[in-house]
Amino acid sequence: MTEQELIAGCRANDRRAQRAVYERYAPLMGAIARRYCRRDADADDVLVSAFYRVFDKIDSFSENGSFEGWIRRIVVNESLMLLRKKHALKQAAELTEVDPGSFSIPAAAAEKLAERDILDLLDAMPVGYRTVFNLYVIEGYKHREIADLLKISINTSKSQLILAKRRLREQLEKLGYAR
Amino acid sequence: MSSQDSFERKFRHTARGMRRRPAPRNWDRIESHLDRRDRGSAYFGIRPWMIAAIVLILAGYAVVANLPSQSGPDPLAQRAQSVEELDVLTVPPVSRIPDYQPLSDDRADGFLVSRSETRSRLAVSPKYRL
Repeated sequence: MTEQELIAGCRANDRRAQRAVYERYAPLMGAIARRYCRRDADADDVLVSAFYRVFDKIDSFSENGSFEGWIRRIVVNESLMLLRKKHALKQAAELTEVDPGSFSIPAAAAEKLAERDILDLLDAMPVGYRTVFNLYVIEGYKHREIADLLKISINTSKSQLILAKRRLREQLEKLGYAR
Repeated sequence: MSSQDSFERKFRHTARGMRRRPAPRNWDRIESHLDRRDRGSAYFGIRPWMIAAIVLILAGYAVVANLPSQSGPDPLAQRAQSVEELDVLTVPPVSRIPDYQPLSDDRADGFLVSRSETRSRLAVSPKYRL
């Protein structure tokens, strides 16, 4: 089935098409949800509610955009909703003075990282750091967009990112990757 | 796209390539949500929010309909009513004095009543007469 056929099937509420969409995108979307949620059970909850929303709101999907990108945005939003529900996204302090040297990480460190290491590094961060890091570094959102999504100031978003990177550098040094 | 250094680019590339096998029961949960939604919309297209809206409208109507009784009787109407009641209570009923009809002297029961005796109908019983 092509993507267009799958979308048409979902619009017709065809269960086989919906299942095919789920099986095609669930591994990727499950990994995204897991990057935001530390617990596997929470990531599964996010996946279930996100795919239900995908099939429920399929009529609002515009054919011009990327279907995968649309589902990804829904998964990210559902992840943020779950974190908000658990009061995990609390207002964080802003940094006034920033030393760029304290959080820059050698590019070579990333080349050695395995997928499991990335998950462990993200899990070791506080929720606020991890969320901003995910949104900025991995999803590619801008600080203004992150501020809108998380209802924080742009400076708070920047501060959270710097603190996340500082924590990441410390972790990488402990693991021997940042040398 | 945000400006990223080379570490971030490589980190991003590796992270975006990650996959996670979903739990087998996840699809069952999604399907049960979809079935519930379909069942909900099967009843003549009635959704829970529609039921809630109807209940709210009915409750609003009931509140509006009961407003006058809740605020009590109109004070003006009450005053008018009490004046009427006052009239009934304070003014004694008109009792007409029956017209005087003098008794005749030649009554069949033998009572002798004087014509001048206008204020009383008392008469001496025959056994006490002298």
